[in-house]
Amino acid sequence: MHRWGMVIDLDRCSGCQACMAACHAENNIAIIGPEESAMGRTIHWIELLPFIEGEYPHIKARLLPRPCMHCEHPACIKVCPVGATYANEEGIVGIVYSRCIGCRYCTTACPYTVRSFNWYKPQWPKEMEGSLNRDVSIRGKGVVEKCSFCHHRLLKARERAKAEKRELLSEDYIPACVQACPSNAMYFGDLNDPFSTVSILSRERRAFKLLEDLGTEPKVIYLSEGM
Amino acid sequence: MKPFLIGLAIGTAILLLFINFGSSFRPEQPISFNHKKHHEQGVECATCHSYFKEQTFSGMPKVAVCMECHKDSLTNHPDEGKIRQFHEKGGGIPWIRLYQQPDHVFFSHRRHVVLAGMECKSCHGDIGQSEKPPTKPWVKMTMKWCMDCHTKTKANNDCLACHV
Repeated sequence: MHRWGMVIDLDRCSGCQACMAACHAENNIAIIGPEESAMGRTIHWIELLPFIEGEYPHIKARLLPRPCMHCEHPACIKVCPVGATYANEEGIVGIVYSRCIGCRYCTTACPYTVRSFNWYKPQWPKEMEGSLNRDVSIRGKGVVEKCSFCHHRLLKARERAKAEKRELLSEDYIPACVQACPSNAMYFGDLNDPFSTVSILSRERRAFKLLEDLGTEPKVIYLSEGM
Repeated sequence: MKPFLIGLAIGTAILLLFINFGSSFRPEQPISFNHKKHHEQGVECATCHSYFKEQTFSGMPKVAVCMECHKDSLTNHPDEGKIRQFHEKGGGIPWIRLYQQPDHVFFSHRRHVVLAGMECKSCHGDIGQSEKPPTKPWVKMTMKWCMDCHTKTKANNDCLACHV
């Protein structure tokens, strides 16, 4: 059984936000207008959190890409009253949108604030309608959504492996953000395999997890020198 | 009490009328297609439903495919002329889709037919032997129905397998 995980090397990340753009295109994420954004109603499955240090003009900005952590012990699952969010066998925390009643307990419970609520009916400019991804459903108004580690890509990779009559390799499946990263700051793979890149990197001296003391055990591991 | 009873009677009558009308409503395809006859002539499913081996959808018959054989009159069937009319008009044949999945369900024909090796008739019944186009889906595609089969065949029963 695989246990999918991600490693983000902050020393390599240039903060270009290509991962965000790729994610938006891959997962049919709705475009939110400027006024609505001012109310904090934007939707991002991966977001660059800014940490500004120092006083102007001697400031230093650290940018931290933050997808869903796909925790081993997710707080969101415990609070969902309708069982719309759950962790599957491979540890991916998923949402069944048609079950979600939009109570937003999970958005509040998630310590990493990765969950977004659909305040509006999703809309795209006419020119973009043909470019939506057919493999990902469009979330309606009133449901919560978040990063799925591009689970549809895993299904497609399995399909391909089966058609070629072989076992699924970890290399077959990577999320859109990892694929788009121009500075190779993101890695994805099987944490159960002790020799996979993510496993080796996760044991590195620079490795740390966000809010580790909460005991959520995230499957997204960060690498940074002196963070 | 009396007006209430009269109202109730009228209400029930209208309801019954609606149910009766609703159940008798059947969508009619633009051409009365005979699956059996085509099947007997050696036409395979994939000739008209061309995508089910490669794509999630299977595709509706295109008028150009019909025209390959029906360019000139082959039979005496009154509907044959309609094919040529649709061809001249352009824009294809307005087939009515019977099998519709809601937006939150992902279904792939390729995954079921090619990778799992299922036959068309597991979901579409003996469509190859039908002489008239069906007016309703052969199965009610409920989640229970899907999941029962997935359990029986030991296929993936994870929520995310269909609800992506």
